[in-house]
Amino acid sequence: MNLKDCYIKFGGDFDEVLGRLRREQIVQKFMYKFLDDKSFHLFEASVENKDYEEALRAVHTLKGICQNLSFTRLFESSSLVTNALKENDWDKAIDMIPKLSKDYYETINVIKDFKNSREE
Amino acid sequence: MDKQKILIVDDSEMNRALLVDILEEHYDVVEAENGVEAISLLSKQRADFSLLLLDIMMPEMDGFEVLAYINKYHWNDTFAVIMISADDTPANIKRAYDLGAFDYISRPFDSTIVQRRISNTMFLYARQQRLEKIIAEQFHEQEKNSKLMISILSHIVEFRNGESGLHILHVNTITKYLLKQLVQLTDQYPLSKADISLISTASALHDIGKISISDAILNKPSRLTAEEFEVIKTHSVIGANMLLDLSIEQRENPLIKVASEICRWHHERYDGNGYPDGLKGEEIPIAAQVVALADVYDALTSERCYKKAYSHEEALKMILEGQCGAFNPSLLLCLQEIADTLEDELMAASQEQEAKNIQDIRNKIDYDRLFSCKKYTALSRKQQQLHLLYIDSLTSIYNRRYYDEHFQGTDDIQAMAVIDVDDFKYINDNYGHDVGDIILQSIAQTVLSCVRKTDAVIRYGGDEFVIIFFSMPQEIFEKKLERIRHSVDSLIIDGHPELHMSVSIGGAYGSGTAEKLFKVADTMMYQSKKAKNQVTISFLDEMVGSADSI
Repeated sequence: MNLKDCYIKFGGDFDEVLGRLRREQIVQKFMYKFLDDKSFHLFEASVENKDYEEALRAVHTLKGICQNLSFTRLFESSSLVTNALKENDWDKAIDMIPKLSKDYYETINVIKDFKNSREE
Repeated sequence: MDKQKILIVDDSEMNRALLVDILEEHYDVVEAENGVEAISLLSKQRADFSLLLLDIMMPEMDGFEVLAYINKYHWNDTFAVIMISADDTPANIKRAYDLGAFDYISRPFDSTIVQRRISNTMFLYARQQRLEKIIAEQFHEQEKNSKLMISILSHIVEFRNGESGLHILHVNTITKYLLKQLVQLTDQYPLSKADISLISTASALHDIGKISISDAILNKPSRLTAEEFEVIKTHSVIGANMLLDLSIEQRENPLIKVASEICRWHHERYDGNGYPDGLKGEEIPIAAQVVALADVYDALTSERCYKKAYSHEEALKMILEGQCGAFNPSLLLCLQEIADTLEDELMAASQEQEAKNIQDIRNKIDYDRLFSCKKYTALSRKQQQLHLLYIDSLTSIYNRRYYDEHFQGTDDIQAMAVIDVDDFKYINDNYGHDVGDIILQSIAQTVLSCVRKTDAVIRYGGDEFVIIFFSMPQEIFEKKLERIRHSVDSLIIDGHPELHMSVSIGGAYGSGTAEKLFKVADTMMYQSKKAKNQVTISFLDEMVGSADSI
């Protein structure tokens, strides 16, 4: 599996990200870095604590990162949650959390598999 | 050259890292993870940064708050702020620009675009700062020139008055302070900074009409008769007409317009009891009102041929009591407000120059002080100005301008000497101009050390000096010139002990105008030149214009 296959698998746009960041190496570096990003977990914890302000900031950050890395699918689901929270529509946001969660873990798992296959 | 420094403010480590990656090749990048951190960093070392990349949505203090803070304290005068966010709704972008952001970069980042945007911004900012600096310098240069013009004008106009020469400078200062105070006090007169500067500059011309008033009346020490006073009064209209006689184009110039208002109406009074037109209240243009008050205030606090100087307190009291006519009540309030400032400002000028006339100004440029660079730095602004105008930069004695402005046409000079350095061209040709310069300096100092403080030593041209003597007995004059010749003859030049210098001196003793004395002394100098190292004097008052060679 190469980097492009990996992107296809989690619903990203590899050509777009490469066009912006120029080098595969950079794309890969930041894709790996995404594994350590805490935005999603901060979001989950904030929702748990009903701290919607913090939750909005966290999911907004997640959205920004996905946008920069062209993680299109995850970008879309995080955008929907961000917008719902911005409109103070808590219920709608909470309804969309399972989808966001599913997309997030799918993405993470694909990246992890890719990383493992590379390191073997 | 050091890399330019960029501060990235973003709460997402990922996003910062991405920007660092894009930028670190060309820039020195510093990171802050929220607004508070950014502000504290900038408050300590903002001069280090050329650019700030600022995210909008952040904990603690968001991007807009940071931007507002930066804008409030004008920190973005020295660095550009570029906002970054995915949240690029038109409202957010507009708000960022309104708060002083220079530009806006939206996510997702394209490395080429980010690099280009940033380098272009840096370039524009640097160029803008450079241009601002150039304009500031030009502005100061112009201001310096206009001050020089005022200073020259003050000498020309006041010269005939035998007044302090400082009057015009004082009126200028008082006018400026009064106007500044006036616009703070009331919105009634919408004057910009430029207007204030214009009126202050134009105030220098308020008395130009006095040029046409005869000396006998202008400098009469006793009380003027009614007829004489009527003559004096014409100076206001005459001054205005002088300006209105200029070409149409020049008359349209704001400075001339304001100046002619000031000339004509600076003796009007608020109650209509002034002259020439008896204008009342706000019929009198504000420029003329202010100059009228400034004129009176300085006249009171200065000594004149017909009166002593009043103290600042006395002057203020007299004006407020209406002893000098009625003034705009708002201006009187302003005068009271600025009284302390004025006293300090005008006293400073007066202490530097208790000079009551041009001759005193001459004496105030203390030779001993001028020769020592260290002491020179202690000279006041005012003295430095005079210094620039009238002192030869090489030899530190008076220059030709000083001679031309102060002695042409004077007839109270007792004697004059013209001194020419012998074989100076030989020195320049064989030793170089730097040695020539040292020699001129040494000779100037030597000559200076031989004369009294009240005599004026002038560098008239390249290697030609002129000395002007006031009230000096004939035999002393002869001895002086001989002493100068001898002193130069025995002068040892610094660094060139092998050189021997001499001067040829021509003297003219007797009454006559400066021009006449100069002509005679110059002729005598050429006689001395035949043999060199000689003094030749002509005594004009003797029936036979004998040339006495020593």
